[in-house]
Amino acid sequence: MTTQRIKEGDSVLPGERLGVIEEYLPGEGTFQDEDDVIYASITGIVHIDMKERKISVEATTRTPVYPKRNDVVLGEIQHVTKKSAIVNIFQIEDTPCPVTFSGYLFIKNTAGGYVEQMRDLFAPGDLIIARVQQQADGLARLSTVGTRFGVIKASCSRCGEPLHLQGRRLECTECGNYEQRKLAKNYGKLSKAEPVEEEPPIEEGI
Amino acid sequence: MSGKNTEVEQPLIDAKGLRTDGRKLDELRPIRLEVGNLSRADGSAYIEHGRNKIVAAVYGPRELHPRHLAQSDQALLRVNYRMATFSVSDRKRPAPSRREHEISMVLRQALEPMLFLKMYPRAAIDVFIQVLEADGGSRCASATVAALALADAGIPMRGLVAGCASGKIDGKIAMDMNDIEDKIGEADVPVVMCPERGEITLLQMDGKLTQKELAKILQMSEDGIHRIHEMQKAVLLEKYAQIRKEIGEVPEEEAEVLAAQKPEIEKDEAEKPKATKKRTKPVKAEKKEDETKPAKKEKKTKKKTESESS
Repeated sequence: MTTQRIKEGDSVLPGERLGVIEEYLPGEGTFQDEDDVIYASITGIVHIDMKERKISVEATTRTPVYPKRNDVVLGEIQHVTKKSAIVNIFQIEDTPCPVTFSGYLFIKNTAGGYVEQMRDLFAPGDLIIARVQQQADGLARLSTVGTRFGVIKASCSRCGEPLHLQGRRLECTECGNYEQRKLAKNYGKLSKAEPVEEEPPIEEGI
Repeated sequence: MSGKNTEVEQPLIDAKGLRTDGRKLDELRPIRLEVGNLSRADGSAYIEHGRNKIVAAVYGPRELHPRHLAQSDQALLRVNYRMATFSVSDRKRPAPSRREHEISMVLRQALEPMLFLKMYPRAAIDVFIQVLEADGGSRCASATVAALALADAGIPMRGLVAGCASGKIDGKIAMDMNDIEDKIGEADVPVVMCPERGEITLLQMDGKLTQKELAKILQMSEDGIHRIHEMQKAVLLEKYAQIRKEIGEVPEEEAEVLAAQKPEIEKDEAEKPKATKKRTKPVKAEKKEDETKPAKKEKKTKKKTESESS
């Protein structure tokens, strides 16, 4: 186990010592222990980024899907409070998740400006595209700042019918109701992913 | 596992100091490992440890059903240890026995500290361990193979665990007990540990030992676990070197070097004459009856597991 120094391109296994925290930042596929030693957590190939002084392991096995920083995710608003929303993430990048993951969207990270209340921008049941800001304690912190991000599908809060884009707001063709959302650029079109109408794994209650 | 003893009394260690299967006291049974042998599982592995033949399959992290079991801050690890009806000499009844439930639990506890379950909240990671043929020490072999299957599934781990059950036979401490030694020997101590970290995640004891003997057994198991761990590493490296060779990432020579490492280890533990069926000591017969023994155990580690031996 304590062999020579780990080099770029080495094959490592879980639990293998990679270095100490003074040498590198622990990147993906690694973990830092209480003793400030960095170990590999997966089977793979070592990459050392000397610019950022970061050591990571690229998996040679299959990798379980879960939201990582900077992933673009597709989710459903589950719950809206005054300042935040809980999102069920069911697609990460282009991969449907075998499980839904929880995401947290704080009001500050919604539109890039001042927003009075979360319910001005989102309602439960909306499908949104968001970016993962960070993953902490199993909760992905999301952001919808940017034209690409926001609601891509919403239904009328009065009658439940799908809302249609009418100028810059959403109109319900059934009951004539108008609603406001933080809209993604391509509202109504589920981006590149073809199987658009894919239902999220049914998720009820908190 | 038939707890039945035959008539002829025969020592477990012969005049030359060899055991019933021809091993020395500090020798492991022959071990063969395979990784990724099941195509439909997310990760899988197979072990032949002496006459133990065990398959492990890992699924997940995946959606957890039933939902109410989900933990909002971490994944749920479910380990299912099952013995095939044909795995022992008397047909095992197909319903999960008390012993299987117990081993499932202790294996879960042995694997849990190695995983980063917090990375996958509300998910489930399922580990299915199917014993096709049982010899002594099947829970240890199961831990070894389950760790490999988890690594194959790409689930982040603190390290690989491996298991080895040493014990006391005919008054002497012996490594890696087989079925007969397990049944009529004096004591049996299954240990599962992560050799790189020196952490014991499963420790059980069946029989009576002095503190000194226990310490010696632990030492011996650790030694055996280190050897098994080397085999685990070799087989994982070999598999992925093979894949990388196929996609042209690794020069062929390097892959061959890696591939050569494994058979070497196997040769080391080369086939020994098989155990003879007619040996026994009737004395401890009742003590070793399969499912009825009361547990005796000592806890030395953070992972404590109440239970009986196999």
